[in-house]
Amino acid sequence: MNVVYPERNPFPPQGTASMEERVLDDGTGAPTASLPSVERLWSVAERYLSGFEPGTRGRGQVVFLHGDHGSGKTHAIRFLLRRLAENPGETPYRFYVKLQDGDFPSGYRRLMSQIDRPMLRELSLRFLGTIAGAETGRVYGEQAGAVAASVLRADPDRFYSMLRDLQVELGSVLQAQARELAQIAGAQEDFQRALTSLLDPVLEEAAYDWLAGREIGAVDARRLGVSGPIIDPELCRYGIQLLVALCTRGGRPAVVILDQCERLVLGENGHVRSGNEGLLQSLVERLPQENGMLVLAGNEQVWERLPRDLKQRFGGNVVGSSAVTLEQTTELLSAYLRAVSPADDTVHPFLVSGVRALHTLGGGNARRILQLSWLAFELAAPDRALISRATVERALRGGEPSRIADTERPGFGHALPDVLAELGEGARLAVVEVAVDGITGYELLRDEAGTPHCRRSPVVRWNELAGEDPDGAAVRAAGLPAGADALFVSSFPGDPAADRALEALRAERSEAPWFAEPGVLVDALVRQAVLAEPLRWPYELVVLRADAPGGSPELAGIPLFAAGTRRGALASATVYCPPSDGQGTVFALVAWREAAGPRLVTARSAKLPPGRYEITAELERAGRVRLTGVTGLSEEERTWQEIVALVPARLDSVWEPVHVICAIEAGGELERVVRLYRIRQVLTILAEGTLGQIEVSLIVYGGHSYSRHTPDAPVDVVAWRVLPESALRSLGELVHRKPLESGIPDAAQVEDMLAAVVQRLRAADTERTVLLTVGDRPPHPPRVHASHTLPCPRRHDWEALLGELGRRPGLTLGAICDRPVEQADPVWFRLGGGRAFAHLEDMDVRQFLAGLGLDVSAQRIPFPIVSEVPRAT
Amino acid sequence: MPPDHGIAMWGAPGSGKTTFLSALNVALLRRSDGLRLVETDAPSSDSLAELTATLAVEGEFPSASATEEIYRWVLVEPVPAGGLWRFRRKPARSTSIHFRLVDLPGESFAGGAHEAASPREEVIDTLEQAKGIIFCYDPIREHDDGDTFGYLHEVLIRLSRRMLADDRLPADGWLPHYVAVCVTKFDDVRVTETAARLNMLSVDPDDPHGVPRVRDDNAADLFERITEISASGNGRMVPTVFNRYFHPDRVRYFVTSSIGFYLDQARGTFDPEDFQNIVPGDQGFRIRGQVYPINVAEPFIWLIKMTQRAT
Repeated sequence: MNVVYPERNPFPPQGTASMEERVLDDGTGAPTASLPSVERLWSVAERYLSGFEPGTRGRGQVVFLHGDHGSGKTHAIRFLLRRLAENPGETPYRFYVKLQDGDFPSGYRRLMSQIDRPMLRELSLRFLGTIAGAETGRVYGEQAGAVAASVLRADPDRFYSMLRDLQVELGSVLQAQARELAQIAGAQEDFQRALTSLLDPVLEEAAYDWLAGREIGAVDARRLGVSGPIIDPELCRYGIQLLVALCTRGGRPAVVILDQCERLVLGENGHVRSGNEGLLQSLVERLPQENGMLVLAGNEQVWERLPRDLKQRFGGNVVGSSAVTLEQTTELLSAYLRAVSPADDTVHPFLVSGVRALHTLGGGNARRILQLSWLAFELAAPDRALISRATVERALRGGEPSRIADTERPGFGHALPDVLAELGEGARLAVVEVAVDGITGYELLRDEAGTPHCRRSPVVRWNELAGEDPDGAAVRAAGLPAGADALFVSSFPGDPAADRALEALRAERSEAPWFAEPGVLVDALVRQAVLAEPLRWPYELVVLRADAPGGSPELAGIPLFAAGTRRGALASATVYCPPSDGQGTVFALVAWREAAGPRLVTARSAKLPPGRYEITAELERAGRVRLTGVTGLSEEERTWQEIVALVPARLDSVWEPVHVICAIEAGGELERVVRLYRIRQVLTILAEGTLGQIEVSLIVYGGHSYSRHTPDAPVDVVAWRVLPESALRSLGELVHRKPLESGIPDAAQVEDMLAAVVQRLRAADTERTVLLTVGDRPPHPPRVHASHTLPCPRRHDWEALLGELGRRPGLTLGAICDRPVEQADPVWFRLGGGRAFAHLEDMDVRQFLAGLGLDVSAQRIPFPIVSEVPRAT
Repeated sequence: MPPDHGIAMWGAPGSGKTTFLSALNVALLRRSDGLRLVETDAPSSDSLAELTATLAVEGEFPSASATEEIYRWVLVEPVPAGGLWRFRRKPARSTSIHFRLVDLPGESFAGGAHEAASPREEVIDTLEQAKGIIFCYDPIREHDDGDTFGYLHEVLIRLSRRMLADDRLPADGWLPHYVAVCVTKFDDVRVTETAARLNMLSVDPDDPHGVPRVRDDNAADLFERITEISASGNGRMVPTVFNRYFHPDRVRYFVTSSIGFYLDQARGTFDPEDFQNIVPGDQGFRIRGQVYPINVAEPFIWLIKMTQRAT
């Protein structure tokens, strides 16, 4: 037997098993013992896994896990998750959310954030693959369908190529998908649109954000075809159903765990929030239908308050986490000790009497047992001593086990956040702990931005204070700063040295509150208080506002978090990052202190390619915000004044959103390639230049055929309102396409192109628009014409259409013609709005773009830019 | 040997003479009265078939004649079906009119400033021998070049002189020919819209295609009005020349189109917004739709019948 003394305390100081909210795929984590509740929960999961069939509905399971605080619910869940991860078959998808309050959408967002974009896209493809398999089966027979579905499950990216190979209509697959989704998510067409958009590289990000419950911009919402963000609890419920269905239809089981249901269902006075209770009821009904497994965990109170009909839906799948036995206590200790000393399967250094004492004094409550274990180990470890009943009792000296670090009772743990909240900007608070070994000082201070900071002094041991004036020495060791508030706490009442020091401190600062709580974990509680403190002031992201009155850019803030926001909150913002200097674009957050104005919280910078960025901010704690959506962030070393000094007095470029429509005559081989090349130059400059939010549309047109044998083809809208990078990709594909029908030599489908633009530009689109036409031939007239140019078969009147576009506010026309100015058809001047005309082979693209108001300058801007600052919500 | 009714095609270069001839067979085939052309010798037969195919099948315009082309054709008018048994005491017989049609290259008529080395004497010979003349007046060409008067006037002076010298000029002093003056290219939007502006368009209610035409009683007026649109200003003298040399009873005016209007493909009807029947291409124009000649057969039939009556 290999007996090893643990190198560190294996037990959690708070006695609770914490869980990260994420898709738990690694199966690692804190140790878990096989308690009865664990086994029962696992048996339900086993039934679920053995009955799971990808193509069959209604094979899911639902289970309720209830028990008091500390009774081992989280242990049971952790065990379940680990066993699921080790499942020999398809590893189930696992989603775990600890509900914080009655805000179900918040829980939904955190649940959805556990699945990243590529994974969601893959799930969507798998789902479509299953449907495509069914469609294939309909066309080619059941066996072929099963093979196709199996191939697509294994390799979802073969979806499109398989459709082509099998000549299965994408449209019919999407229709079947819509029918399926109607069953899963009701009549919520938004979900289908978002799901389909997830497969579009251009819309993928926005679709993911929407499905994940995040805020998306109005433009993205319009492009996705969704009405608004997922903020309605019912929509969130549909979203969870959809997620589970995507997983299970794709061939893998899915387990959703909603922990702390009491916080969702029960209000402050213990009343049932009927709306949220209804949501749970719906999930309990629907997730098994979608072949998923739903685990609800809650305390005894919520289980008691659930309505009878909901309880009945769990049938025999109700698991109570009751008091642990002595044997289970041993097993629990062993599990934790093994995590630190894997080779040791004993409970060393716990003696049998120590284990018995833990079980007895812990009252069979797993959480309390673990708390006591932690304290006992802390006492024994410095001397590598064995832990006996005496050690455990010493750990408990002076009070009941339930008083140990119980933050649910009034005391230091509860008082500290209140005291901290009273701490004003620039003020300091001294927390002094007297313990069995010595005196420790914590200095909490709040900076100008309202961020609390904590500095811990080294322990001054009692023997270091021995001398003529031990009381005075204790006060000096506490290092009470002048003018600072103070708070004293004794974690070992009854210890003579600690008690004497506490008395001395109280004498020094009689107004200071004090606490005597055996075993109280001061260090952890101070850290917790700092971490958990809500924001005192709203946080804003500093941006440069391009549309400021007077024409000069000015600093502004995009509201991210309101005052009172707690850690874990998410916010998003869309900004345009212009070219910056060598230090990169500065992402600075300020706390807005009402009349006192903004105070810098953090400033980091990143060297980014110019472009639009969707930034997600996660409040990790007051003073610390994690930004995702931009990479390479590092702490900004320049002073604020230095950075602000880099803001130019005027912006050379136009920063408001602009929509550039490039219409290209694409008949004829050589001319077509030259025109496409020129447009590529234009788009490259726009993509890399210092422009604001830019969207690009690409239209190619040829000529009318006027042939009895060749049908007249419409203009081809290759891309509409996409990012320049996406338009460049489309342009690359166009080069390899065969030329369009050339038609007659003296005219091209310019008028059809204009009609397509007029039709697609909606009245509500108010942003700047540039229509850039590239070609050679004039339009067809609307009717028979003396020039012998045949009329447009669709009778489009180019003059009327051009006039309509010309009257549109904010629309600018530009033309690039194959011919020089003296040879070009006069129509081209009108297509160029009478001034923006260029010869294809002899033009300065940047200058031409500047003439269209698309200035591309070499200006370097230190901050992200917005054209309009969103209002705080 | 049956009598030969010589008909000469006359007009400036590019005035549409050869296309007019190419459309003749199609025009007759589109009539309901059964009139048809029959070729009387091999070379002419080949030419007629070729001309017809080029225009109506291939949708191409025939090449302009570079040399004098002589066509010997018979216009056959069959007896109407059922007519042998009703209303007639004697069995009716079909009529066949032999005629020789000479298509001269436009340059042959050059006069005035156009001092081409063309065989003018042969041209005068041909016209002297002819009993009927189809004169093609191209208003578009006149608008662009204004040289019709030049082609017309000198030839008529020399023809008169020749006939006077040969003592063939009738006592009334007019040239003896019957002349069908054809205003060509009625399908061109500029001609069509000129006629429309002059309120001279009408549609035959029985025409299933609804194609507009200029009634014969308006044709002379249109001719007069349209000759006013001339690059040189000499166009307005063209009607005067005809009035000066030919007896009014022997001149008749037609507004014609060899290819006709483009008809809406779905409904088969005339579309006032889209009736151009030619398509510009890299090699010139080609015909866009089907060929529906307008007033192409009528001048021939009128001339043949007039010259037959005179004979």
